[in-house]
Amino acid sequence: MNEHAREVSAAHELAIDVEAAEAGFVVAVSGEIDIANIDLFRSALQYASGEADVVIADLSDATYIDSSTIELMMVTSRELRSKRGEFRVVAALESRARRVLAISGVERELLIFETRAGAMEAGDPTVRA
Amino acid sequence: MTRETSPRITAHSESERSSVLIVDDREENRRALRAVLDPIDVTIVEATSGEEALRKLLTEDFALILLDVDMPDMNGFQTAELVKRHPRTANTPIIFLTAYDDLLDRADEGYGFGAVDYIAKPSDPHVLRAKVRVFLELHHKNALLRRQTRQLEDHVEQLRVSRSALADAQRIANLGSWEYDPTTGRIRGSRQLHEIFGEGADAPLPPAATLFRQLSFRPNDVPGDILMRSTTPTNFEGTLTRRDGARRHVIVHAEPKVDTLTIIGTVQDVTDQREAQRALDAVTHELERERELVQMFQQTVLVPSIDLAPDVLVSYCYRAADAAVGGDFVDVLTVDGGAVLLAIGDVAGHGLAAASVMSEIRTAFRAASISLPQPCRIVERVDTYLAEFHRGTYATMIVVRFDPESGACTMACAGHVPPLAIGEGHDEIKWGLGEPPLGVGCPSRNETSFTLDQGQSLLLYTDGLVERRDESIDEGIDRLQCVVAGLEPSRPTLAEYVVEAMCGDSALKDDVATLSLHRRPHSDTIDVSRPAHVSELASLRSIFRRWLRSFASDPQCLDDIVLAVCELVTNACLHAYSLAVTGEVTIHGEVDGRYVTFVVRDSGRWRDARPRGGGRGLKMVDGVVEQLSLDRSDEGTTVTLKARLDAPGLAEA
Repeated sequence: MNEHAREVSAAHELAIDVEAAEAGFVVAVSGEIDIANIDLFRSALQYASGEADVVIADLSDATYIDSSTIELMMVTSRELRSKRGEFRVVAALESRARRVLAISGVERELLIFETRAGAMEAGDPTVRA
Repeated sequence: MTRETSPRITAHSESERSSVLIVDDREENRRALRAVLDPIDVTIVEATSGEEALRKLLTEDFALILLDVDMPDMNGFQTAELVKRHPRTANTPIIFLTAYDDLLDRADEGYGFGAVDYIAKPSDPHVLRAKVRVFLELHHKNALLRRQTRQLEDHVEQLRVSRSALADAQRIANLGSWEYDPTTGRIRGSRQLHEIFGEGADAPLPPAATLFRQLSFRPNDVPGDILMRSTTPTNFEGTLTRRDGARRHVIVHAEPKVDTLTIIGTVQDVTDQREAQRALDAVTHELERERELVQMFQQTVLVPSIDLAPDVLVSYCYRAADAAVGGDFVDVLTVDGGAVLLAIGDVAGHGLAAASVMSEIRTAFRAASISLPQPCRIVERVDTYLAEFHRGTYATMIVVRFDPESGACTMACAGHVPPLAIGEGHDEIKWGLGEPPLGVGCPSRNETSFTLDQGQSLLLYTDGLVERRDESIDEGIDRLQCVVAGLEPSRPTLAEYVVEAMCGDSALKDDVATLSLHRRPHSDTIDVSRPAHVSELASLRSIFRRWLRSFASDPQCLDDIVLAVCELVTNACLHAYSLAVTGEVTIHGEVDGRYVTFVVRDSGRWRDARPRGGGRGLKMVDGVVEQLSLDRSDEGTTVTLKARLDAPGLAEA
């Protein structure tokens, strides 16, 4: 019965996990984000931004993101930068999220990493600065 | 699936707030459950032990109990056993919460204790919330139905009283006779006439003119002394206003008597009859209204919409039996990934009791379908529910899971009449013959699979469709097969047509439900019309993906186009309707060679200065399409995009 439960919720349903790591807070997204459920992602990012200077949005398992997702990440990135924090995005080259980042033309404005490990190893922005 | 955004599940009534009892000895677990249930408008009551739970159950009504299995002293199963033993709480549904690892081992044990469901801890908030909502809906509907049943019973009793009052009134023929002599102006009357006019039985009557002036006849209040000039037999109806002030409803007959040159007649006091009749009419009217309500109740549990997807056409029909509503139901759900779940069922018996069980089964079906994608598992769950909560009630049911992409159908059948496939060269459907009905608590059920090809239809029906007094069910099914044999499978109202053809206008002894699903052939155009609301986006994505898949073989190209169209729909939802009530957004898609064109139309006006996000969306669309044009007018906004498909379209294939 559990494997069925997983099968149902696996494909498109949005699930967001917030995890504290040494490097900062990781907000991991799986499933589809659109304007209808963006508030879940927004509150997770806000929570993480309140707790840590470095927030990593891991979009590796995001199967759909849209312009509202991009907009939210741009705002989050600006806000974190203004308090000397850093917003990092995990989206591998072949991933759907990366493609949408590219279409939106924000690849240069966001810190994008291939893997979560890479994003975590990027170091402390305050030290680096 | 029936997730939080689903408009079909409303958790509670406006008037009464339901309560959920959380039983868990650990504070952190109760806190977590509270947080999960927070978005639901429900009163949460907590108990830290089985004993406390039982105390609270004695004084309060709960729509649902969330019960931890592992508690010290009295564990969840022991608690459940006591809950089930008490008549007041026996029907309260219980969802057991148990550690993930124990789930499979303990599931069977728990069902024995009346569990309706299991949730593993830590629980998936979406699933838990969705399930709680389903049970709240059930609770609410049952309360509504109970109220209506009570009212209906009251009215039936009133009807009985009124009928007997009318019979009494009619038995007592309150008829007086009179004879008027124009030459003397005097009137003689029978004893009853004296009584009707409120005159003493022995006292002489006043002169005719005085007496008759107490009468006025319809229409236009004709004065009663018209009787004194009667030249032909005439009937009047009107009001008698007696000298003592009492008003009576009377029917008066007058005719000239030639031999004596007098006028004779009768006065009948029909006040009591008329009142009884009026009361009867009122009660009958109420009863009709109640019937309509119950019918409406039946209707509201039916599928609201047939516009599932451009390539899936669903139609249904429900007809109540002549005498009473029954226990037939149909339901259609779209589940994650675009699959469609069809259900049809028939609760044994008639009337409100059957209708009530029907609504519970439907709710149990919905609850089960949230976490169980397999039809046989869903049927097993509903079976357990019925066996537990309505022992001795039986029902039949079919659940079909249809994959619109491949046409694959998986079906579980519980003693129901077999479905039919309609259209050329369809698979033979091997239904689960011999599968027992719901209510027997059959531990494991079988599934059958078949494929519905493009252009074919599937028809599910209840036995009311094929049952006639003068023929066996098999003969009825043969007749049905003849009816559908020559039928065009794409007929939009197939379900209704079949009922018409089989039952005509004749009075039904059993209610009838039909449900049809048509798999439309793939087309190089698509038309979708939806409320301009962002909650539609997820299902639109799955529709567009499915449609584009046969034209665009490169997944990235396909995803880009879906993104572009959905950005346009998002804009239509956000901007065109930011202030007004929700309108419609219509999407037309067309494949032409290597290109696809989408036209997204709404009936609102876009504001010129768009807030953040909207501009970015359009820019993104512009980045992935070849052409983009925007046309704003007073009638609305039309955006057209043309994008390259890397795979050739149908025309070149």
